[in-house]
Parts: sequence; C-alpha cells; structure tokens
Amino acid sequence: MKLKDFSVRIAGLAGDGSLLAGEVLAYALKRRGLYTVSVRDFPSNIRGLPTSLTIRANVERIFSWNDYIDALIALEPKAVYSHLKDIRIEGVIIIDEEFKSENLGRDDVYLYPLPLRKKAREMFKKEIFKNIIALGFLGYVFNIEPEEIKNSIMFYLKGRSGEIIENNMKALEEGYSLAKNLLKKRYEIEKSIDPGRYYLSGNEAVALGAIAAGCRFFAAYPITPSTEVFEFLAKYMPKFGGITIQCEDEIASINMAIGASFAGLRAMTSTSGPGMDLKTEAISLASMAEVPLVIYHAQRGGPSTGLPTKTGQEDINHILFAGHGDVSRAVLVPSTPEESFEFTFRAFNIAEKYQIPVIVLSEQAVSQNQQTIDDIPYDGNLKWERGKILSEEEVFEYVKAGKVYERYELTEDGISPRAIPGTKGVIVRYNSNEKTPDGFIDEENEYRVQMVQKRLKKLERIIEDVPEPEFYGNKNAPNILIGIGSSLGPMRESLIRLKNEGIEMSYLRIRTLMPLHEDYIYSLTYNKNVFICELNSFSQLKNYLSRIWGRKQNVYSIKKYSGFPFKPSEIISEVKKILKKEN
Amino acid sequence: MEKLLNFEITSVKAYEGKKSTWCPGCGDFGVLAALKQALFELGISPYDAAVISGIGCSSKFPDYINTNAFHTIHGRLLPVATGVKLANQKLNVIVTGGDGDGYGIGGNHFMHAARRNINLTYIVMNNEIYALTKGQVAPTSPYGFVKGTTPYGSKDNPIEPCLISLSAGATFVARGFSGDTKNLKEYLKEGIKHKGFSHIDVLSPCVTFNEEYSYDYFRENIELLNGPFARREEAIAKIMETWRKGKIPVGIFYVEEKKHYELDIFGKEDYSIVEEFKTQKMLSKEELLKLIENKK
Ligand SMILES: Cc1ncc(C[n+]2csc(CCOP(=O)(O)OP(=O)(O)O)c2C)c(N)n1
Ligand code: SF4
Repeated sequence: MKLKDFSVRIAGLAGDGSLLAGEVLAYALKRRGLYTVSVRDFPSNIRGLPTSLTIRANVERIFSWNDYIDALIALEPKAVYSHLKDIRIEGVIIIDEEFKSENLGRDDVYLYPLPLRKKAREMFKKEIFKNIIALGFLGYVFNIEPEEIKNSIMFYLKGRSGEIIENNMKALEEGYSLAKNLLKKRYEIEKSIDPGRYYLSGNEAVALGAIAAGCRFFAAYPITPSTEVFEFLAKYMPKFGGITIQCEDEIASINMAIGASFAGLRAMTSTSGPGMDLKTEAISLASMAEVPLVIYHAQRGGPSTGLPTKTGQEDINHILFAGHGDVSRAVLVPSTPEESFEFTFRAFNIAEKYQIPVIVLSEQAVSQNQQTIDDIPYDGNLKWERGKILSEEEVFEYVKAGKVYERYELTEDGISPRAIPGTKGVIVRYNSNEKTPDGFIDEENEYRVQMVQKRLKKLERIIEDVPEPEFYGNKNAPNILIGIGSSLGPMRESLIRLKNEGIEMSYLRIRTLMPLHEDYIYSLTYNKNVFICELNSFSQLKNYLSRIWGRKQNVYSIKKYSGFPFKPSEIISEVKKILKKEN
Repeated sequence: MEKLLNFEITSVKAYEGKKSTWCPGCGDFGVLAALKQALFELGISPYDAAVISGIGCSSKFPDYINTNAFHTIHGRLLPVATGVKLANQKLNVIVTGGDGDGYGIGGNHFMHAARRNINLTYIVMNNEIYALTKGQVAPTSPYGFVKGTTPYGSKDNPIEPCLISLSAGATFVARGFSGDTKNLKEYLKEGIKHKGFSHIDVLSPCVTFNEEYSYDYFRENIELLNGPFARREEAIAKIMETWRKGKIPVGIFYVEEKKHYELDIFGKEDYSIVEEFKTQKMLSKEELLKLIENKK
C-alpha cells in the first residue's frame, strides 16, 4: 500500500532517545524529498518523564500534525497506552517484547513486540541503542532504504566517535533484519527526488533572520522554548564581529540590548512568558526613549511557570498591552520557519525605521518544532533599512550649518534622526522621562503634548511595513476561520475536510497583531460566521478582535489549552457543533 | 570651516549641561563638579563620553553634564551601560545613580557588573536615603531609621556596598565624600583610567530629607584609609575594622590589574562593534545557507 501522507510517533521516557531517533528519521525523509513537520512533546525535566516526537511527511508542503498516526515506536512500553487512540486502523506498533503479553484492546493494528532492549544489551551492552534498532524496523516497514537512514545518522552524529557511529549503524541493520523475518504488513511511502530543501525549527530561523538582518548584539537569559535562538547566535555572532551575552536575568538582558541599540547597533533579546513579565518595564523605556529594539517571545502554556515545554497563545494580552502609559510597539506573529526568518529580519527594519520596540511573537509549537521548507525567503526584497540614522558626513552638515543636533527633533513624520553617540560634533541625549527635543527632562505641558503627538505620529504609517493577513479559500464562503501561529496547518486542513462535508469555509491568518489590519479583516469577514481558533482559555484573540465587528456579527472562539497545537479534527468538530447550535 | 570642525576642548565649561534642579546644597553638586573636572583633566571630550543613569535625584545627573547621555529606568543603569560599552568600547562610559537605585532595586546588576569586570566607572551618590520619592529608607540607611515608610523604625540592617563590590570581584573600589571634591576628583580620575569595573561610592548628603547625614556628620566621621591595599582580603578587613570603630572608611581601597571583560571577549582593546559593522555588507544567500548546513 502506498502512503501519501504519513505520520509516525516515537515515544518513550526522557532519556530513551526518542527525539534523536525522530530527528534522524525526519532528516532521512527530508532527503527523500518529502516535506515533514515534527511535533515535540517533552517534559520540563531531563530524565524519566514521557517524551515523544511525531513526524508527519507528505509530498506536498504541510504545516501541522495530523489527527492520527500510521506508526508508533514505544521505547518505553507503557507509552503505548497514551498514544493508542491516535493509531489509525492497520497502523503499526513497535514495542519491546517484554511487554507482549499485555492485551491492548485493539485488534485492528499490527503489533510488533521486538527484543529491542535485549538486542541492545547483547550487542552493545547499552540499552540506549534500542531506539535505532526500532528505527531500522520501522524503516523496513515503510520501505526506506537503510542507506537513507544511515546518511541521516551520519549527519546527526557528526563529530562523534567512530565507535558510536558504527554501533548506531549496526543497530540499524539489526532492526532491518528483525523486520525481514517478522513482517506481516509493509507500506510504501511516496518518494520525490528534490532534496534541495531545508529542515529548520522556528527558533533556528529566527536566529538566522537576526544574523541576516545585521543584528550584532544579543542579550538574553535562557528560557524554554526560546533558548535555541541564543545557542545558535552564541555560535555564529562572533564570526560576524558581534556578541551574545548571557545575563543575570531578563531585566538585565533587555536593558543591555537597549544600551547597545542606543550605541548604534541592531540589538535583540529573546524570552518566553515569565521572562517577558520581567522585561515589561524596559519595553516602556524603549518606547519612551525611542530606542529601536527587537524582542523575540516564544509563548508557552499557562501563567507563572505553567507548561514550560508546551505550546499556548496565552500571552496575547500581555504582548499587546504590557507596559505603563501609551507604549508604542509592533507585534508580528509567524507561523512557519520561513516567516520566523522573514519577520525577524523585517522586525529590525521596522524597529529602526520607527524607533520602537518590535515583538516577534512565536509559540513553542512554532519555535521548537521543525519543518521541511523549500527555501529561506532571503532575496532582494530584504534589505538593511536603517531608517533615519545619520552618517558622520550628515552629522558634519549639522555642525557646519551651526545647527544643534536634537535627538527628539520634532519632524513631519514624528521620526527624529538618530546620531550615533561618539560621533564628533554632536551630543546624543536619550531620556526615559518626558523631555524637550534636545533630550532634557521637561514635564511642562507644551513639550509633553508635542512629544506625545510625535510618538503617535510614528504609529500612523507602520501598517505599510508589517506583514498583512493571509487569506485562503473561497471569498464567498459564509464561514471563516481566524487564527495565528501554529493554527495555520490545522485551519488549512479543516477547510478541505469541511468542504467535503458540505461546509464552505475560508480562513484568515493574522500575521501582525499590532498594528491590526482592521479594514482588511472587516471586509473579508463581514456578515460571515467567524470562528477564532486560539490556544488559550480566556478567548484573548477573540476579545481583541471583537472590536472590529462590534456585537453585530456572529463571532465564536474555538479554544484549546492542553499545551498542544490544534488538530484539524478538533477545529472541524467545534465548527460543526457551533453551526448546529445556531441553526 | 576648518575651525568649526575642530572639536578640541579647551575649558571645563564645555562639559556644562542644563541648570540643575537639585536643592541648593545637595551633595550631588560636588560629584558633578568633580566629574566634569576629571573628564577635562583626562582630556575625554564630551563626544567620547556617555553618562548613563537610572532614576532618582542623583540620576538626573546626565541632564547637568554635556556628554552623550541616557537617563534610563530605576536600577537598570548598569545593564544599559554594559550594552553601550560592549557595542562601542571607544566610548568612556560613566554610570551615575543613587544608593537606592544601585544597591536596592539594582542590587543584582551591581553584583554581576562587578563579577563581569566590565570596563565601566560606576559612581553612586550615596545619601543613605530615597530622596526623589521624598525620604524613605535605603539599603544603606541605619537600623532603626525613622522615615516616611518606617514610622516605627527600620528593621533592616544597612549594607556596606564597597564590601559587596569587593567580594563580587570589582577591580577598583573607592569611597569619596562630595564635601571633599579635591580628593573625589582624583578618585574619579583613577577610576576612569582604570580598565575594569570601577565602583566609587560617594557620600553625598541629601540636605532635604536626611538631616542625620549632613556634611558635618560626614566630616566628623569619615576616616581616610591608607589604600589601595595590596590584597582584596586586606581591603575588606581594613574597611570592617574602620566600621567597627564607628568610623566611615573613605579612600581608594583596592585596585587590581586584570583583563577586563571586553578585552577577554574580543581579544583587543577599543574594539567597536558599531564601527566594525560599518564595513559589513549583507550576507549572501550562500553564506546564509552555509550557517544552516553547519547547524549540527
Ligand atoms: C520601578 C520603579 N520603582 C519605583 C520608582 C520610584 N522611585 C524613583 S527614585 C526612587 C528612589 C531613589 O533613591 P536613590 O536611588 O537613592 O536616589 P536619590 O533620589 O536618593 O538620589 C524610587 C523608589 C521608580 N521610578 N521605578
Ligand atoms: S532631595 Fe536631597 S538628594 Fe534630592 S536634590 Fe534635594 S538634596 Fe539632593
């Protein structure tokens, strides 16, 4: 049987090697020319708790996981129970033979109890190789040449000792030979011959975007699920003359980035939920002192420490409104690695052009999960646009003309030219207090009002520079889904499946939360049933968007808050439930 | 024209900022005068210096001096200054704040800036009070201090900030008195010249909210130590000994020549990322893709 769409999950306890086996498989599939998406489920702990990686592959570009899986490798035999309901009819389960006597209560699947641990102990005196033995078995089930997986192992174990690599190869062979003897059912997955693609996580893409954008200063404090950005940049930033610094806390990190930006660099900080709480005061500072700044925020679930390693869209309110006073900001929300790259790049241009903080708002499911993408969207359209930054020559023009440079000069568009501190001839004075145009503290009515108006003016045109919403589907459909971030894939698949059931649906994916493309959203949703998909319990997105329609229109929130992204079936069943109730 | 573009500084007047709004007699005036004179004598032009402050009366400092400046938020002056310094080491970065700002809300950053030994000059105007918020106890106020928020006497013990910076790893630690600008100026000059984290605590009376710690009080109670001491431990011991006698130690306590943070990272003095970036072009697609290929 030939599969076009193929999902496999490797599950175990943290430390069992499920993530490595999964990555190896995903990379092998990518090299086969398949598009893959992976969804990581891992605990906030290092060893001993349930962990899994789900990989879905398709000949076409996909954006999310599916409702079911075709195969499960249960490295920790009990893991089979938690995933049993996800396995489709005629699916495959690979578990350790020590578990075979258990009755699973499903006779519609192919169960392969294998001597995984026993073989690993016999061959290598180490149980850990059980993951690769199981992977070999799976490779045979799905008709993947061992060479393809071997190449992938080589890639992932680059730099490891010869013995480790050799043992992994032997373990893989063992898996294939076990399968040859035992196999009852074999599948084939589509193969396409176009390996020129990239397999990237959102975090990696953000780091690449920052480097490409000319960010040369990065300060942060480690926090899941954003730390990979830091690790990536720590490795590469020095090669470009820049620096990354691990700070004593989030407060220090954002303030250091502000300092570096004041000094003339493109600077970024990154964080997640609790860290963002701490950065809030400095976001107010960046807005008030008009310091360009990029803040990358990968959401996780829950208030406080919450669900550190799982996804959520619970920080919408915070990101949109954090800070005291009228805080200027832009908020971009990527859904894919491509957008994570592009939006990060564009964030630097927007931050410098308008001299405001720009937040790239991601979430665990986008930041940590990897996808196969065709290409990095890096072409002539992305350029360093540093806004009104004065060159040394321009500064001298000021001096020659006998003009005094004023950091907060009142201009037509509200944007004042920035001089780099250290340039001879000008004094650059930034201030977190209300101020006169030359940057001295001033609380008098006259300047206060002018400064507020100046900051307001800057916001008027940002909409021209931010990513517009993405519309997908039939414009005349009476129903429309709206969502952000990881909802992209599930929404897209829901449309197709709903159509098969006679429900016409389109979708609108919001890619900039602030400023909001209100008119555009209004025109596409007017007089339709609007279903807002969001990963929180407070309907934060719905509440924020509702002002677009007032009370005149049917707007529903489809909510999920388990820590996982939507599955298409969950959106579909909610939509149907709501429509049924309304009719 | 030529002359116009000549930025030579010929008088201390060049450092004159806005007219101050400090209360007449505020200790911070002495610090301001000493810093201006120090910069002038060291030949650091206003264009090459950046004064970074937090929030408080003392943190209004940047308004009153003519250098590049950033008046930031309460307690965060050291991180901001660290970012400035790392971005462009050619700037002389002077950090000015109060004791509440630096030892209270910003206490964590104080410890870490010292530990990092980043090449900053940190001047704390220590009036043992929160002045801008109109007189509450600070981490340096004595036990039992009766102020607005502690009507029954503060139950917190005071800290000795110089012991903190010394034990955290600062490589230049001193205390001055704003009533003695002659010595203070020298400490500031030494601190600015020093390559590494220089912490200069300055006794700077608040004449409005803290009459207990007046100029006279300090004049009677300070004791000039015969520093700098050769070893960190010795400096700590001498400071503690002085306090035990009921005296306030002043002077340069400790100086250590040690590779500072930026030198350690970049391997050269006076490296400026800002300047280096000017010579950079956007990455080519190939260069970018190479980063992905090498990611594992
Ligand atoms: C986050 C925050 N909390 C509180 C304040 C209010 N505040 C302003 S200045 C200050 C204390 C200043 O004391 P100190 O640093 O000793 O400076 P001084 O005014 O005595 O020179 C406080 C609490 C603030 N601005 N920001
Ligand atoms: S209140 Fe105190 S610290 Fe503030 S300006 Fe007046 S004297 Fe100086």
